[in-house]
Amino acid sequence: MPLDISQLFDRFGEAMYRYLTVKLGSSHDAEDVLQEVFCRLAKYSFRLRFVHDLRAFAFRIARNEACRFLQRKIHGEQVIQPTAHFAESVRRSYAGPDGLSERAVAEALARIPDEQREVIVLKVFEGLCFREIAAVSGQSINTVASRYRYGIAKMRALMEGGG
Amino acid sequence: MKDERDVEELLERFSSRAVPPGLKERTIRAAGQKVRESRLLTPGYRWVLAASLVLLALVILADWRISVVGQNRLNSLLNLPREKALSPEKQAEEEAAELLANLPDLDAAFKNLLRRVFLDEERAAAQSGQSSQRFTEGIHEY
Repeated sequence: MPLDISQLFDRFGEAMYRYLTVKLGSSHDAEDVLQEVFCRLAKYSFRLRFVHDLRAFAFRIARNEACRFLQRKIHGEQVIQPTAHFAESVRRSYAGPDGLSERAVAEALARIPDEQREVIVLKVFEGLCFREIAAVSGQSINTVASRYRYGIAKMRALMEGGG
Repeated sequence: MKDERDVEELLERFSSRAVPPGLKERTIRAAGQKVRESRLLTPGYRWVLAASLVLLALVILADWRISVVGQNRLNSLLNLPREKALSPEKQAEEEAAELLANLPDLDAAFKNLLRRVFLDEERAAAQSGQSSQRFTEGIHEY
């Protein structure tokens, strides 16, 4: 039975919105890109029946659309969000056990490289496994696992004040 | 923090915040609208479609006209009957009138006999699918 767009949103919509908010550093841009993602999913509705891992497929489309959006922004010479916006986006999407650790984690996440932040968000916050993240980002599982380890190590250093 | 495990444990204690209210409805509505727009013909494509249909009609018409003219020319060269051939009665009447115009002194009985002979020939030719002229040509060839 084919999935309709509403069912797809119930399964992945909110997770993709949070992921896009962190990736783009703006909830407004995330909503625009999410509409493009669902437009594409609606066009692919027939093909979705044959997709093995629907979650990885949906996140892959979200990632591609986000990259396209960022490229358009660069070509349009619009300003890319500074680090402070990424920290704010992380805090808008995920809640920590307390305010202090929430701020520390958000700022550390905002200061690590994009590809490491992406893997950590997908792995820890959205619950994707390394195989799925590899499918989403188009990298090997080893590369994704390395990015995760380097990202966590960098975050630890930043949170300890080592920069 | 002692090691990376502490960071992972801290991250695992994070939870997802609620998305803005109405996000699902807005997203689905906008995506549905974009899909509908992409399926509709834009004005530019409508003109292209109309021009293509007109061009197709012209090509079909020209092809039909060329084939009819070509067929008629070929028939006249081979001395075959045209597609719209005259009926045997009319053909016989025309041929008899042409002949009788050159024989004004012939009496009425001979005229009727000549017409009947022509009519019989034309009917026989129509039944056999060949023109009476072709039959005559066949005789001349021998």
